Amino acid sequence: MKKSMLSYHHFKKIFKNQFRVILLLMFFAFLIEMLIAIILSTSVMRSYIESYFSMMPPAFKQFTGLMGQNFVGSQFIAFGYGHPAILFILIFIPVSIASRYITAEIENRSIEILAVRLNPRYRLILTQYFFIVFVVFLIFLAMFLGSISGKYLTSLSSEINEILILKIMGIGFLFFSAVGAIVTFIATLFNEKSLSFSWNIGLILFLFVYDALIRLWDQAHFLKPYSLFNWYQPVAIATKNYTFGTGIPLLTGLILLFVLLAIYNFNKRDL
Amino acid sequence: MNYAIKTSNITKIYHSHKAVNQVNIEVPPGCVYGYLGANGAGKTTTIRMMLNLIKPDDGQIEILGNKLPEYFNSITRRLGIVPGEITLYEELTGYEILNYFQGFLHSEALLKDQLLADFKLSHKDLNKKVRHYSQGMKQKILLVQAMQHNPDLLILDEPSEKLDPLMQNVFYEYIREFRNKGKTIFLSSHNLPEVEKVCDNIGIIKDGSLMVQDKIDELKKDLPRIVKLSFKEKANPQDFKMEGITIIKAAESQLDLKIKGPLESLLKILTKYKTHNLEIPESPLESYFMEFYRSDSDI
Repeated sequence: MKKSMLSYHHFKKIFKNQFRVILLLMFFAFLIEMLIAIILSTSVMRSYIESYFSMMPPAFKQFTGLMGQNFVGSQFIAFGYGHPAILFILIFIPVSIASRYITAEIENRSIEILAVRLNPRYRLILTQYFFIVFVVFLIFLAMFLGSISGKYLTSLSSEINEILILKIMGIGFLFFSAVGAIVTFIATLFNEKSLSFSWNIGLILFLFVYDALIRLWDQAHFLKPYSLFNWYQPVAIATKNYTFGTGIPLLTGLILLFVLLAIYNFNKRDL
Repeated sequence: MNYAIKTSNITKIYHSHKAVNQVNIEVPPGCVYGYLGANGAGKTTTIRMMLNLIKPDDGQIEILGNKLPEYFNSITRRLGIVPGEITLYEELTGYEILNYFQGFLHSEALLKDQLLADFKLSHKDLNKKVRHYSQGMKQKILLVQAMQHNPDLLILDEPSEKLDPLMQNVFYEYIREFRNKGKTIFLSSHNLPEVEKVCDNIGIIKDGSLMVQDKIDELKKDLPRIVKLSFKEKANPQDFKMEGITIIKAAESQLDLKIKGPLESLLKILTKYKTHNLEIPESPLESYFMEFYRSDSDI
């Protein structure tokens, strides 16, 4: 009997385990984007936010891409897709899923039954990775629905542009799929969940701080293309400063590279 | 001869320590093979190599006539396994775990109901989350998942360790039933009475090397047994010096003997004495195994 590359049965188990968490995170993502649309529509809140941003140090404004007073609504909507809370959700998901469904299985030795039943081993990696991609898609879908709901609830017809949001979603989906591939590969390197978790979080934090530094430090601007987080800049997409021609192939390449590395390492390693 | 399991000189080295060294295991089909060894002897490492979980540094493995790792995929459905030291999914119920592992096989769990009834796993128990289970119940779930699809080969790592004596007997009955159906069982243990009770063949591993491999009945024939005697009077050790009897320890009214062959000659001598007690503390196999582990030298 020919086996498919993904195991629907394993996918179903992960989904059933994570269903409530995913629903909760989708709800948060939905609320954040809707809240941003509501802030945009309320002149008092909008002017408050504008003055808040204008008070921020230039470095912060450089970092967020928002310059303060009289910003364009689409920039603020885009900022919502790169808001720290959203970044936290979208990074927390791949890291926790990879650590739990790869490394923790090795640590608990349940991998011994799983690797025999879910053979060849790459099916386990691909199923788990596909689940990460699926959840990232669901979170972006919730964010999109949040923006659209905000638009209709507040009659903000001109400032919320669906095409722009779809572009941000597309890049975001690719970016966090690439993050998912990287953390999946790292999860295959360890035997203990805590190690996999801390190395993954450590790496993501390092990449984030690295990106912040080169963004804030003028002399290091030339390093921007070599920063992973440079390739998820929703505000840059809104201001048409994002290079799709580089971003899309780069992120796709990262996905392919790290998924293949994860499969190779998991096939080769002792469990 | 075709073997259900055949390993040829398999070796596994961890940081220059040979966990398994040039091991040649031959398990005929339709037999129960007991793989004996102390903790850390290399039993689990051997089993993991058989299950393609770790790769041998040297040597070859054939399972059900298929070379590993190339053809492992074609035999996975025919295997039932119980790994050692596994932590089950605590957030799932017993039923969910059984259905989860069975679901990969796309086949019916033919023996599930019978196994659940015999292992006294009630509907109520199976609907509880595994985190509420005792160690024994977790082990029973593992045994059911290994056997429920009626596999051709069972590979079990210390399967009965956490079971109570009643459940151990149920497990032994299943082992015999599987064997009678022509299936092969490979079980590791450090519990010699268990191996003696249910196994046809035995392999003893020590410090990563397979020291003995034979049919249990054949092995028993040549094995000496320890007999401890105590008398109501002073015993003369010279009376016990004859072929097949070695005196291990002699005190005034006590003698420890090692006897090879039948006990008839000893019983004849004992008629001369007022014997207070005759004790055979270990079975011949157990004596052999214990002596084997006590001494550093090979027997």
